This record gives sequence, structure tokens and C-alpha cells, in this order.
Amino acid sequence: MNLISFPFFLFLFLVFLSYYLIPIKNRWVILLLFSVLFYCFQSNILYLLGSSILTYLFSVWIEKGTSQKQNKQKLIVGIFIHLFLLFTLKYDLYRYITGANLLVPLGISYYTLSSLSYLIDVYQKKIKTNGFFRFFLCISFFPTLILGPINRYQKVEKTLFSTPTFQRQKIVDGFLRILYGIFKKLLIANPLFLLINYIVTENIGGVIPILGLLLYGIQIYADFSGGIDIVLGFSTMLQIDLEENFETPYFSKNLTQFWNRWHMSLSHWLKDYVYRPLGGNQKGKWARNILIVFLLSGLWHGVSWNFLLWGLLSGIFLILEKKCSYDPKKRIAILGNYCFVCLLWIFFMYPNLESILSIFQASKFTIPLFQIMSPMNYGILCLSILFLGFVDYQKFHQKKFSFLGRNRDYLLLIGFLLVIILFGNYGFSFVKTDFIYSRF
Amino acid sequence: MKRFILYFILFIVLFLGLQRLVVPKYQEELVEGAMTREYYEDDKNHQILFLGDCEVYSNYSPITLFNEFGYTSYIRGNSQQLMSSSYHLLRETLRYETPNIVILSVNALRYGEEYEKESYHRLLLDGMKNSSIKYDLIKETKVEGETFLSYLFPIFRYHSRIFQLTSEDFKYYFQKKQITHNGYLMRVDTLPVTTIYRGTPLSNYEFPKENMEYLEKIRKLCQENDIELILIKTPSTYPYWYEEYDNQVKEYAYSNHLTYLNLYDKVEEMEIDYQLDTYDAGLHFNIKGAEKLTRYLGSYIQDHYLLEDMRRDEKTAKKYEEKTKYYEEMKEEQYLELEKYGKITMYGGKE
Repeated sequence: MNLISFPFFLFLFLVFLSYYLIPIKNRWVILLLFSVLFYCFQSNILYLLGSSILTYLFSVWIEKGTSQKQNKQKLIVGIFIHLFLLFTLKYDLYRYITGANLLVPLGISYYTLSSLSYLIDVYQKKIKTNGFFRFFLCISFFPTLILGPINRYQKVEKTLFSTPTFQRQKIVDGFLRILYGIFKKLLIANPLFLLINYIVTENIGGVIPILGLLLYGIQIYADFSGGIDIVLGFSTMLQIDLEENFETPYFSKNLTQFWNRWHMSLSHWLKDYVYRPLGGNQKGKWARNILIVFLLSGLWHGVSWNFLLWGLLSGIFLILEKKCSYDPKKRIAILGNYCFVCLLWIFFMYPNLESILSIFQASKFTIPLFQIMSPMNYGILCLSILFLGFVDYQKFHQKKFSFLGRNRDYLLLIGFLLVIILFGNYGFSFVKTDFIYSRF
Repeated sequence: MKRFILYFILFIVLFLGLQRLVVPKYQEELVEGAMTREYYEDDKNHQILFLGDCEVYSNYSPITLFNEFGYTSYIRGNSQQLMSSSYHLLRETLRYETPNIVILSVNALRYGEEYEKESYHRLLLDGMKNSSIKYDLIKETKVEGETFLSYLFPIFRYHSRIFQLTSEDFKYYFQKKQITHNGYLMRVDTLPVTTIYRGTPLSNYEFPKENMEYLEKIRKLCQENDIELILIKTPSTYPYWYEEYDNQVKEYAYSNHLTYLNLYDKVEEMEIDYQLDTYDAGLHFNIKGAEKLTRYLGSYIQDHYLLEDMRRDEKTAKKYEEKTKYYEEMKEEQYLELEKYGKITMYGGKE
């Protein structure tokens, strides 16, 4: 089920209605039921269920254990089992050994990290086990299974299991955020996909791939953050606070700032469960730790040279930046940092290293712009990108659309709806594109 | 709450207004999409119902059939209309009226999956009223990418037309003109036949099983409603109508006691002149050819069926007097257009 599809919206509507129709204390049960239903529609739930039962049993076992040494051993076994399952199911280890294909369970990259954080948090006594089903809801909460963010029990339990009193404004804000997410995907990411896809599949050379990379930076941001906006928007409508994944990342002046604002739930996870346990910023260790974290981040996206190199280079550049204490004050640095980040996106834009290298042997150096889209479509795309930049700028400076007055919410709702319906890149005559991060 | 309702109404008004703007009007450039809709505007007292693809809407003139034989008729035909679509259109027609005779073109029996195209579904379905029958029709014919929602709210299909709007979209925003004459799409121009096609051998001549199943459903529906079903094949120089095709229809008609008229054999009797009577080198007939075909069919019905002469009914006669006037006006307009531009660019039509 795509996040932008009629069945998914219908599903959201049903969840929303059911959620607010039943007493507060049982609402999480409704979410659990719908999450199980959602998962069963999409994928085989046995893996998720099996992995959750294992995690929970290990957590209880660790919690009841008195010997720190034994607990550590249990934790290591628990982590190993999860990593084994992840590598077997997602990274084709099973196919490598047996030659047969296994269906990758939906959201395995996301729920594995959620499960690991639960296990480690119980081991570190940051949380206590509080019933299997509550834990199961935390890792299977359906909106987060496709694109994240990565749920951590400690962070979501407060609102996931005890909803505060009804707040109309939260519902309006959540709905607006969903629409903004759809806007980003249908008016920016999807049209840009057409351009980028042409550059990649037709193996265009010269300066075009560089321009393509600069646009890909916008595409991947609009695509990923758009999807996350839908997820967080719906959670807001249910008054559940999930971790934010983006905080105006392209307004960063250096890589350190960028990585603190991009895919934050993954960055924070890696920081808390890998970087710090390895010694964090300790002298003599920090560079090694950064490299390990980025290599793992690359691996999380997939076992391929592309992602491994992306992780390696991102880590090396971050180490160099820290070594040089690069922390510019001028605004122009934002542009430089954006270009630099976009260069690293080359490993995401092209499917493999061969296709990247083939740019140098390209025989085509131009693209038929107006065959890909009409001039009007380019106009709408440019305006949409400007709007995205404007909204991020407002957010960066913590401003709201106050100029719309007291009718702000209604005007934005109607405006977004009509703009999406009229100018969105969806429907029979458009190429259907999945969210980029749904494949990770 | 008051403000919410106000803004909600504003949204609905804008939504529906924009939807009306972007949906194709089928009035000048692509008129074939107007056919389904026009049926609802006509009186529902037809003695004869034609069902089929372009072989019915181009080749038979209900106005001639009335004026010369006194039979009221309507053509529910659309471009590349599938057998399944004919079946559901018959079901829908029966909700409004029960004709005495259904004349079904068998041309669509040869249509395989390659004929199932969204663009043709749209021509038929865009003008169709929402009902459970429309739902069934969409369900059974939709191809990948087609959604129910986009038929319910066509703006979800046509929103990208916002950049392709023409004067037609504004001119016919509120009111549409009548394109057909009881479902007949008039063409007065001529393009003579230059080549007689010989069919190339096929690997399989058998009609798709699904088409035969729908034919059976149509037959049963007619039987249940006491309607005479006539199967018809109109002559055309291409695509080639193989003997193997014909035999299958004959066999079906024979085993089910149905009349099958293969008019290929009657070309000389009808005095069809392929140099004068076709507008696209033999695929469809122009008005001269269509009137000849209609005369033959009318006299066949007169000889074999007992249908009331509706010219004696004052109300119907008056209605058809108006229809005939419009028919003649359009004919004249098209001839004038032909004389002026050398081709038909508009279909005339009543505002």
C-alpha cells in the first residue's frame, strides 16, 4: 500500500474514526489491531511477530537476570539474532546460501532497529518491560513501517499509550502536514524523478549529471521528508508524538550540522547505540567511531558498493571537517554545503558503480527537456521548489504563516488540496513512483 | 463550526467547478465521447436498440429508419465497444425501457485484450450515469492504472488537462450541443476505397471465450425480457472478416435460434458504391451508405417482425419532425463545410 493511494487514505480515515470513538485507555489496542491488519495486507507478519516475541523474551530474561556479565551475553545473543535475521532476509544471505528467494518483510530495516533499541534500553535499565503487546505496537505502528521514523519505546510510550485530551488544533495541524507531505511528493519529487530518471537511464554525460545531482538533492529531500510528513501528520492527528526526521537539513553550513538534521531518527539511533558505546568523542577514538557509524549507515541502506562508498566518503569528509574545525559563519556556506552533500548523493542517484563510471563514456550530452515535461509543468515545479524553500526558511527562522490571519488553517487546507489535485503528478497519465526510502 | 461549513462549501464549489472545466467536453475535437451521455436526454420509447462499436454508430441512421419505416430506434454504440460493455449498456437500457428488438453488431466478438484500452473506456464511461451497472462495467473492463475513484471524480484523471484547455472547454462549460442523431454519428464526406484487403492467415480464429460468454449473457437478458435479438455484421473492407469468424457466429445463431444478418452478401442488393458511400476508404459508411444500409435493414424488419408504425403517433411524429430538421441542418452544414475546407472539421450540431 503506497502512502499516497486511495486505499491508504481510506485506511487512515477508518483508523482515525475508530481511534476517537473508543475510550482513551483502550486506544492503543485499536492501533495495535489496525497495525496488525495493515501488516497482514502487505506482508507476512510471521517474521515481525517472531522477531518481536524473541526481542521481548530476551528483554524479560535480561531484566530478570542479576549477573551483569550474563546479561551482557544475553544481549549479545539477542543482537546477533536480529542482525542474522536482517542479513538473511533483507541482504539476500538466504539467497546467497540456498539460491532461493525470500520475500523481504515490510519495514524490516526500521523494526529491527526499534527492536534493538528496546533490547539495549532494557539492558541499560532505561526502560522496563511493560507487556508484549505494548512493545509490539511500538515496533509495528503501521504508519512508520514504510519510511520510518525509527520508533524508540522510550520516546513514544508517553503519547502512544496515553493520549492527552482532544485538541482540535492538533488534528488540523496534522492534516495540514499530511497535505504538505503529499504536495512535496507529487509536485516536486515525482516530476524531478522524470528528469533524473532520464539522465540515469539514458546515460547522459557532460555537465548534465552535475545539474542532475543538484536536483536529486531536492528530489530525495522532497520524497523522503514528504513521506515522513504524511506519517508524522497522521500521528499528530492521533496526538502521538514521534521523533522528527528532518529539521531544515539544507540550511546547514557544514556536514556536522547536516547530519544532525537529516534522517535524524537513524542518526540519533546510531549515535546512541553505536557511536557512544564505542567511546564517542574520546580522544583517539572519535574518528574511528565516525567511520564505523557511517559505514553502518551505508550498510543499513543496502549491501552494495554504492552505499558502502557513500558511507565511507561521508565519514571521511566529516572527519576531515572536524579535524579542520570547519564551522563557517557566512550564509554562502549553506550553498557550498548543499552542493557538497549533493555530490555524495551520486551513490543514491545511480543504481551501481558501473553506471556512475559509465557517465565518462556517455555519448549523449543533452536532454530533451520539453519532451519529458511541458513548459507549464516546469513552471509549476519551480514554484513548488520555491515554496518548499520558503517553508523551510520560515521553519528555520521559527516563523509561521501569520500573514494569513485567523483563516490561516482553512485557506491553507483549501489551497493545498486544490493545488495537489490540479497540479499533482499522479493518476493514469503519470508514471507511478514509489518513495525512495521505501526500498531501504 | 459556521466558518468550517462555509469553507467546506467553498472547497466543494471550487472542486466541482474545476472538475467541470478539466473534463473533456467531446464537442468539437473528439466527439465520440458524447454518445453515452446523449442517450439519457432522449425519450425512452425505442422499439429497436442497436448495440456495438463504430459499425453501428457510423452505419445506421435511426432518423431514416423512422421516416421511411416508422420505427423508433437508438444506437448505444461507442468506439471499440467491447462485448462486456454492450452487455452492461443493455442492462442499463432495460432500467429505462424495453425495446422490441436488439440489433447487436458481432464485430466486437473478435476483440482480444489488445482492444482493452483506457482511452476507449473513457469515451464510453465518461458520459455514463453513476450506478451499480457503471460500477460493474468499470470492474470488468478496467485495465491497470484505472481506478473507480477517477470515474467518480474525473478530475483525478483529467487534472493535467489544466494546461491543455482550449476554447472548447470554456464554450461548452455550461451547456453541450447534441452531436448524434439517436446515437448515429453523421459524416457526409467521401474517401473512396482504393484497396481491397485480403485477410492474412491467423494462428487462431476462435473468438475469445469471454466475448462468447457476454454474447450468451446478452442473449439470455433479451430472452428474459422478451426481446428479439438480431446479430448483424456490417460490410467493411477492413479489418478482414474471416469466414472462420462468420461460421462461429452462424453456428451460435443457429443453435440459439437467432437471426444473423451478414450484410456482406447484400452489398449489391443495397446498391452500395464503395467509391461514394464510405468516408474512410471502406471501414465506415458515410451518410449515403448509412441510409442505404438502414433502408435494407428497415425493410428486413418490416418483412419479418411486427412493429407498430410510430409515425401514426402524433407525439412521436412531432418529436421526429424536429429530429429530422436537425438531421437535415447538420447534413447541410457538413456539406457546406466540405465545400469550404475540403474536409469535415466540425460536426455541426445544435447548441
